[in-house]
Parts: sequence; structure tokens; C-alpha cells
Amino acid sequence: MGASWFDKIFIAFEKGLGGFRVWHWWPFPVALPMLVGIRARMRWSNLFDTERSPPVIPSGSADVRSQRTADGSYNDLGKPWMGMAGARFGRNMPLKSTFGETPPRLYEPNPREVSNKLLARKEFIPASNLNILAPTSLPFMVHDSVSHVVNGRKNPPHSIDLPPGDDWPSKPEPMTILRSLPDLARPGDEGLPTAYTNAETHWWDASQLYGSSLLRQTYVRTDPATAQLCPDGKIGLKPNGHFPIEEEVLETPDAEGARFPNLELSGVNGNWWVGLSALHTIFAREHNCVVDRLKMDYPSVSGEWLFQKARLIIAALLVKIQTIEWTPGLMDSAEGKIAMRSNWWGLLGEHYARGYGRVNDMEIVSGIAGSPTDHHAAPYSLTEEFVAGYRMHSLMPDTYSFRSHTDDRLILEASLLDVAHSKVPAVYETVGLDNVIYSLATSNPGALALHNFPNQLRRIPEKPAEGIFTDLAAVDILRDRERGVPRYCEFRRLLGMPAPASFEELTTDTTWRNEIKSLYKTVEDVDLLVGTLAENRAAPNGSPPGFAFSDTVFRVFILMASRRLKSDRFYTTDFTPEVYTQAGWDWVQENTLRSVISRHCPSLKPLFADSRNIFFPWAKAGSARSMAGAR
Amino acid sequence: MSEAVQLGWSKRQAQSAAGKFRTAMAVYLVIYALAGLLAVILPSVVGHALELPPPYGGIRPVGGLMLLVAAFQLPVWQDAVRSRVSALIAILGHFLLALLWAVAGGLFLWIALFELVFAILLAWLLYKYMAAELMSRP
Repeated sequence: MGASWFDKIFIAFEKGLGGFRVWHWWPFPVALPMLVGIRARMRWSNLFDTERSPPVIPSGSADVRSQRTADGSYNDLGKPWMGMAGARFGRNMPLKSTFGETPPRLYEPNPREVSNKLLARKEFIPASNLNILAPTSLPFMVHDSVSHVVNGRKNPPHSIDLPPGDDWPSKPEPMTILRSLPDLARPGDEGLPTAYTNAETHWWDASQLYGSSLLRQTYVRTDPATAQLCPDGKIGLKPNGHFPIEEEVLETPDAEGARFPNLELSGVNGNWWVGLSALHTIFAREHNCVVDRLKMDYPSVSGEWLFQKARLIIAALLVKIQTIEWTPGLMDSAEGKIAMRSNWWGLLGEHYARGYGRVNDMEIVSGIAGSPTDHHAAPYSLTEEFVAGYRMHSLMPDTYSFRSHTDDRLILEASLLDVAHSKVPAVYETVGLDNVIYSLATSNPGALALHNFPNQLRRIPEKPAEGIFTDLAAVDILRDRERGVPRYCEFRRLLGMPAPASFEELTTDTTWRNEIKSLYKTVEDVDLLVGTLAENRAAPNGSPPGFAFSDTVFRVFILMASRRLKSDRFYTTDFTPEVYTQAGWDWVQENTLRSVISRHCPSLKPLFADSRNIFFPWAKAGSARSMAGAR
Repeated sequence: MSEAVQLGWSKRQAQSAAGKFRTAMAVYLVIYALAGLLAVILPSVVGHALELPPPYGGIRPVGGLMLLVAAFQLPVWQDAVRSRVSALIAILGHFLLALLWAVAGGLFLWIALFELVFAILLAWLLYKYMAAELMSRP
């Protein structure tokens, strides 16, 4: 197995031209085949399996052919363990390059010092072409398929010395960070790097809404009024359309959410805040709408059947939104748009695909959705490098203004932590769902750049009474090192990209350059996160024009975003009206986040009517744009 | 916030780019169709103008062919984005025709020049139109 002759042409084309200039330097008709070549090359050079002795999965009673299992097993019928909850993260780098760092290099330079000197937000740098629904959707989608199992409390934590003058609350004691919990060694692991497991299913299967275990799914499906399973396959919501509060006695709380009490009950409620809750809420309501639609065509089927079909449909709709709305919003260039749109519809485009269907099996012509399943060089799993690429906390502002969508009147000014965890229901009572969404959609997130990491997230009060705080910026730096994600220069080389040979080539911003130089001995030591954020100001190999993130991260995304579709049977071989039902198939084809918000928050419609992308800033209430939208 | 995030603004940019492409395409098609028509109606005038040796029996079918080629390009003129595969084939066809006329030499070089100029112009305008259309999408 290897690249097809067709792929080899694109690979050769990209290698030839990429040696002269990076892909985004070239005009669009040249850049596009170069991107096809980059992806084809990476599919055979940057996918590595870490499962040496996968478990045997007994076949359950579920109809695995036409519905998703709760734990993600049996997506691949030949290798049912593939991508299931508890499976290991794979790698995008050769395994010999992914050994976790050990002291003293693990702590050099000091992660807290990197956080203080390079990441801490000095002044909010906005991403002026995006709204806060963009960073809100990020954890919403990440929770679908990524969560490292809870960090080990048995092993002694990492101890990080505090730099002189640091105001960290534990001072004079060092900062401590829990260690990542490695998977137990299995036969065949000898001499290989430590592997880590995923608490969620690796699939793009909406497990953030439905959970990754049967028990969690049962809780989500329980009617809060009766404490019984909703008989018609709906998600259990309160009469006001919001989630019930999770009882602390639940047996399988998700890893992240378990840390805080009184959270709303959803499939995954880690890092819970009102923005994330709003997305969960509208998609839970969307699930219930889909059930109502299916009941019209299938009045006599069971609630179980309705739930499973609605889940398939909602998962596919979320994937479509992520592919043709969210990602192109953050890659606002002709190349970025066509790359993502053609992942779904192919180069022939939406009108052709919806009018005539597929021409053939080629994904480049008619899209990945509906093409044959292919895992390429390794069995499917998400990767540590993909997780590292999604470290985008700089997108989050520190403070939020909640305003009325009717007159833009200020209702509540709050910090992130004021609207997080158990405080979410109170925010809904004060502000209301429509106003929450309006407020996020009319405010800018932070730009992905150095010195823009939200300071609130650099001092999260986990258990303030016990003096337990978290500096998420330092954690981000340490996790990549601990889990063997190569540092920036090596990371780029292993992706087939040129690496900066000096600090001068790393960034064109002289202030940033001097600050980085003061912490790192050589450019080879620069951490992945620091390097990718410095790409915001780097030429000629910096962020592509119109992109909110770096080219380095984009290379991982172009491989993995396609892979999440291409490996999943329910988006490829079994993405058919027969499996989804005709009504379900049409639902996926006809809807977008725009239509979902229109359905559940109709009063907001005039405010985003003139936004090209739902993740771009909406019109403010009362503005000329909103008047035009109302017309 | 840039105007580019606004749907109305970006749609207007795409419409403007479409207008430029369609105008250039219309000029080309009108000239091409008129030349074809002339060849069908007055083959001897065309033969004489191109300094071809008589008889001129082959000119009339060539004129008919030119009319047919112009007609086939009408869907591209009408909506190049939805007929993008046809548009690409048409542009490549112009370059090929320019080459063929150039190989014929003599006064055909003027026709080759005409084809080449329009091939480059249409390719550039189509590229700008496609990019503007893409940038009007989410």
C-alpha cells in the first residue's frame, strides 16, 4: 500500500515548487495542487500507529452496521477497537522522535518563565475578523474526540521552580503540575515511547453531546422530570430547554467535568462555561428537532432507533459545520476555502454535488463525504501532535460583555471565571440564551500571537482554599514536552517544512525575537507553542494570508481534518440515505450553523444576515447592518 | 472590522468580477461569431482577405464550426462558476487555438494574436472571478 499514481503526481508537483517557495506564496491555481500534494505526502509519511496489542472487543447487541456505538467501537468493522474510547493517541511523527523529554531538558526553559515572559497577555490583541463563537466552537468540537485520561495523582507532580519576582500564590513553594497518565505498557511496547490514551472516542461522532460510554449516554437521555429514559429518543432537557444539573453521584462523570460540582449535564462538560453551554444547548435542542422530524416519517419505530438515527445526523451536521463554516472562517483565503469546501463537496462544488451526486470515488472531484473509507498509513486515531496544534487558548478574552440583542444594552460585564462551571445557569437567568449568543457573536476573540494568553487562564483557582491554582500556559508548554511532541524546528522538519536556522528567521518582530532569545539557548530549543505563535509575525514562512493560525498548525490540520472524515465509515462508505434515512440525509445536506441558530434563536437572524460566515462579527443591534439584515 | 466579513460587500465584489469576465467573454464571442457568420455568408471575402488561394469551399464549414464553438461557450458566459469545468476547457481551448493559428503562419498570425490576447485576458479575469466568488462564501 502507498500513494496512488495520481497522488504521486501532486506530491512531485509540491516537492518541486515547495523547494522554492512555501505554498501560500504561489497564486491560487498553483497553491491548490500543492496543498493536495502536501496532504497526499503526509498521509504516507506522517501517520504512525501506537497500538501494538489492541484489545479484543466483544460484539454487542447494537446494530453496528447502521448506528454508532456509545464507545466508538465497530466503526471499522474489521478492527473494532479502532478509535474507541480508551484507545491510544497515535502520532504524526516517527515514533523514535516522540520520546517524552526528561529532566533537565523537560523543564528548560522554565515553563512558568515562558508563560510569564512570552505568553502572558499584556494588552488584548483582537482577531478582528472573527467573533467569539469561533473559539467557543473549538472546545465544543475538541471535546468530541480529545481528552487525555485524568492526570495521575499517585505519582509525584512536576515541580516547577518559580522565577524571582513571580507572584504565583503558592510561593515560596514551587508550582506543581500533575503528570500525564501514561497507558500501561503492553507486549510490543518495549523500547518505544510512552503512549497516552483518549478518554473520548477518537471519532467525530458528537460524543461531546452523547458521551463516550453507554452509561453516560443513558444519563444524557434521561428525562429530568421523570428520571426515566426519554421514550422517544430525545435528549433530556428541562422544560425551559436547558440541561439539568449533573448529580454528583453519577458513576461515570467525564474526566474534566468531574473536577467541578453542579455542572450542567451533557456528554462532556469539562471546561464548562456559558459559551460552551450555549452550543451544547442549541445542538441538544437540534437533536430533539431531528427526532420530531424522523417521527413524521417513522411513527412506529422505537425511541432507541430514533435516538441513534438522530445522533448520526447531528454528528454529520456538526462535521459539516466544522468543515465548511468554522475552519474556512479561520482560513479566510481562496485556498483555505476551496480546500475545506472540496473536502465535503469536491472540486465540482456544492451545486453539482447536491444536484447530481458523486461523479466517481475520487475525493478531489466529489469530496470525501461519501467516498470509500481509507486509513492510509496507519489505523485511525487522533494524534498527540493534533492535540498540540489545538492549543489555542489565546483566542479567549479575559472579560465578556453580555448585551441585549434588541438594543445592545449592557446586561452583565463578567470575567471568564464568573460565567464558568456552576455559575452558568445563573448567567442564563440574568442574560438569556439569545443574548449570550448575540454577545459572543458581536465580540472579537484574541489573536493567536505571543503575549495574548488570557491571564485568567494563567491563574485558574482550582481549589483556592487549598492554594491549588493552574497556570494553563505553563501546562500547555509542559504537556508537549512531557508527551514527546517535538519542539518547533524539529516539528517542522518532520512535517517536511523548512525550519528556521536562527532566531532572525523565526520572527520578524525584533522585540519578540529578543524576548525569545533571552529564554532559549538556541532556536532549536524553542517550544512548539511559542514557535507557532511567533509565526504570526514571520516572513516568508509565517501564517498564510487570511489565516488565524500558523502554517505549521495548518499542515497538521490539513492531514487530520481530512482523516477524521476519510477514516470514518459513517462519513464515507456508509454516508448514504439508506443508513441516515432520506429525511436525515436531507437534514445534513440542507443545514448549517446559520440555519440551526435561525431555528432555535429566530430573533437573532437579522443580526447575522450580513455576516459572510457565522463566525465573523455579527451586526450590533440597532446598527445599519442589522436594519439591512432585517429587510 | 474589515468590509470583507460582510456578505453584501463580498457578493458585490463577486458580481463586479463576474461582470468584467462576462463583458470580456461577450466581446470575444461577438467577434468570433461575427467572423464565423462572415465566413458562412461571404466565404470569398474571407478567403480574399486572408490571401488564400481559391477555391474557398472549405471556408464555409470552418465558419459554421466557429459559430458552433461560440454557441458552446454560451453557458460559460452565462455562469462561469457553475460551468467551471467548461470554462477551464474553453480557456485551454483558446490557448490551443492560438497555437494552431500561429503554426498556420502568414496572416493567420493576426488571428493567433487575437486568440492569445483573449486567452490571457479571459484566464486572468476568470481567476479573479473565481477567487472573488470563493471569498463571498462562508
